[in-house]
Amino acid sequence: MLEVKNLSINFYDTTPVTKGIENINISICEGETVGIVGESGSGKTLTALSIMGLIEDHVKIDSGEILFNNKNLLQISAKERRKIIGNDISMIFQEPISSLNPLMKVGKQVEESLKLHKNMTKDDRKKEAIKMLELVKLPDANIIYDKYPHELSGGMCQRVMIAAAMICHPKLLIADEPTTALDVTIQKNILKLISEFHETENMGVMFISHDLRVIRYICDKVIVLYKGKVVESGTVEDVFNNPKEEYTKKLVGIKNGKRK
Amino acid sequence: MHKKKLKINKFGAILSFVIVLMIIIGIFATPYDPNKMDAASKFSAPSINHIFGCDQFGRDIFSRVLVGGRTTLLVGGCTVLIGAFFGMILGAITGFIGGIVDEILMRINDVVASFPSILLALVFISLLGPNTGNVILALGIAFIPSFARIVRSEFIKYKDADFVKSAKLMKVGKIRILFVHIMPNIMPTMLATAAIGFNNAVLAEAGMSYLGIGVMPPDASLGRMMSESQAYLSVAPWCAIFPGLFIVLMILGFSLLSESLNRK
Amino acid sequence: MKYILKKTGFLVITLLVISFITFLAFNIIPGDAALSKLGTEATVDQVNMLREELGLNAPFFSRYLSWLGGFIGGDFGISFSYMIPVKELISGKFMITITMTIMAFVFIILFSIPIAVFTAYKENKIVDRVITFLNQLFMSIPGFFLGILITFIFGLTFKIFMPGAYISMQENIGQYFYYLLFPSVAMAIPKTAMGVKILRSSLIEEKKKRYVRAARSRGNSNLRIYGVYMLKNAVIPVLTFWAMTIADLIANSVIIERVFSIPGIGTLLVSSIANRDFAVVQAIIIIIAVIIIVMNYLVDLLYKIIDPRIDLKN
Repeated sequence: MLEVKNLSINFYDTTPVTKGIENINISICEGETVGIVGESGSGKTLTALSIMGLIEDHVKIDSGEILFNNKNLLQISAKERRKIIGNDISMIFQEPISSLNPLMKVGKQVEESLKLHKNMTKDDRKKEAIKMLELVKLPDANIIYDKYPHELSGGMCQRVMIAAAMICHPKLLIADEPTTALDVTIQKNILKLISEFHETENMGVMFISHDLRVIRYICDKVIVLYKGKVVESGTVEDVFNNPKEEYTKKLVGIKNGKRK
Repeated sequence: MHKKKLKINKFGAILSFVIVLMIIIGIFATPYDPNKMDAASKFSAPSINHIFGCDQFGRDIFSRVLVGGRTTLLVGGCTVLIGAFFGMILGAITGFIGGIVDEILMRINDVVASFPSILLALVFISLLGPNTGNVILALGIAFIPSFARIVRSEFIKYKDADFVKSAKLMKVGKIRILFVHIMPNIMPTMLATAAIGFNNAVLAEAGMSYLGIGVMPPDASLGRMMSESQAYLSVAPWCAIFPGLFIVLMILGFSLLSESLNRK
Repeated sequence: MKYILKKTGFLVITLLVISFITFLAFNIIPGDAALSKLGTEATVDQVNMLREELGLNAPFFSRYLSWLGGFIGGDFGISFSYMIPVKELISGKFMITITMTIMAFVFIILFSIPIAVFTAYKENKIVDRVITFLNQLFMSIPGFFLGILITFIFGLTFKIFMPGAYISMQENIGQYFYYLLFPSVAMAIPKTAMGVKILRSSLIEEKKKRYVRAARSRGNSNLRIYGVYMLKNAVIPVLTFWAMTIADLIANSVIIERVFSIPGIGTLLVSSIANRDFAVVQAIIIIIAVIIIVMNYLVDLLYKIIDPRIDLKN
């Protein structure tokens, strides 16, 4: 379904040019959860943003293709891409509260994808939004609809984001460290939520994190990034139990404490 | 080593430098005596002899502009100094003390700040009479609030900073903390505010002397030159335009310069 | 609700304090009004009689209160130079000045918003750099000098209006507005430039924020991102600037009126200062102060409407 081939991205706002990612290859089939793991600066978020078309002007894609259902996202017009983003591919971000417009009611932000991609009446949209808010297990969904982001907790905001991302039933969800900024107890709940959606919708998930335990919990396959390059990839069992590369070994070893 | 591309505005720096230099040289020597009247040159257009042309009395406009610019610099500079000095004290005190005193003083501050400086200066002048000193005093007072505000907010920012706390722990005196520790960090913002204040003062002074209630003769003023020459716009537009242009270039130069220095 | 009450309370207090200070300034500093009216030749008795008449012997505070009462009721005193009530003198002129202020303000809002959005959108491209430089240039031009230039270019050279030929509303309303257009634009241009600068940098700040990125990820077009998301958020710091701009416009009209020979409040203010006609000066200054304070108050209320977070920030 999603295939990233030989993607290389560089930053052109410094002299000399800074490398972003180099020859990245990722493939995600329908209903697959793929984890992208690595330390900060390894290029995980950059990869995700490039799939969504959210990179800034001075960050240029120097080579490669991003194929979504055999359409190269890098070659379509901005207008065409806007039909896909938010509709077939969605993304949730790391800091939930600041990822929501502080001056817009939360409910309106949840239903926005419907407004942009589907033809529905205002009332239907609102009903659907409230339904989504219930699905993400927010109590009193119709009250939450009228709230503003600063009135909600981090965990609640993340649920709202998930509701907004899922409302068009995307085929692929990109999750960029969605739980990193949340409490441990909330983390588990959010992960469960994502997991449930993955099952009920047969949705593909690209899960980005630096936390191996989370990747283990949620993903089937994993890709390890280091300094912008793919170091190792495979199923979660293979990579974490039998790491082949030096870096992966270190990564797995440290995270799992004394286990080796 | 990866460097972020820097942009220092050379144009602004050169412009400011040239203008200030011209004015300073003008203190010692001008191409012509600015007050010398020469009937033969009455209303002559800009030429090699008289770069800015001559006015209705045949006086060389370029020389007069240099002298007028002197007043402008003087007023602008003194205004900023007064405003900065008292504003710093006020801002430091209220920032440090806080509490009710801070609240009340800041309310007063805000009201004064929102009142246009020209009007404040007019009130001053109307009560005390027009002369250069009063103009400077009036504009200086008008400028204190914006400075006080900036200094105060910087103080509040740094009051609780770690390095200040550690200095306090070491029993360093309050005044010393003020000057040695906090002040240097505040400098950049203060310079930016000073630049803005300077520009506003220049504009206000020009406006007031245009109206005839600012700087009085014999002190020269670009604003007054413009008002005296307005009647001759159809005959000799350069009389009114060059003084104005000079002001524009002065402000432009300083703005560009301070803008670029302010950018991180 | 508490926010509104608090702000209204401050409004009233500020107005009272300002009126008191102004009264103080204009009645203490200039010296004895009776003496200046009668001149130095007057005898002591004559001066005392006039003082009784004018109520100058009453204690200061009661003078203030009776003046305040009168002022709120619309009695602004009598002009010494014209010997007519100040109110009559200034109402027509205020209309003219207010008209120019409003015209200038409309110009500012109308032009600064689109230009700011455009330059924020094209950040750092050549177009942006050129416009930003022009911006800086226009910010450096004193309004009245721009007025002189406009007079020269459009009045004398292109002859599309006659400088100095002010036409009142009663004579010809179309020409009235047409003539006032020029000084209004002269005042508006430097402020528009500054407005563009502030709004643009506010927009650029917003552009970098997380919620903008998240909004894009849902498929929002640039139009919606700028119009619905960024603008509302970016406008908040600009509101204070706009309120200040109105105050500055009124102040600048004082000068611009002289450039275009307009019989507005500015001309009156200047002549009253020269004539030491303090009743007029005092009334004008206080009215302007009231306008400014009320505008700031309205902006504070506006903040609350636009930004639901305000209570928290306080």
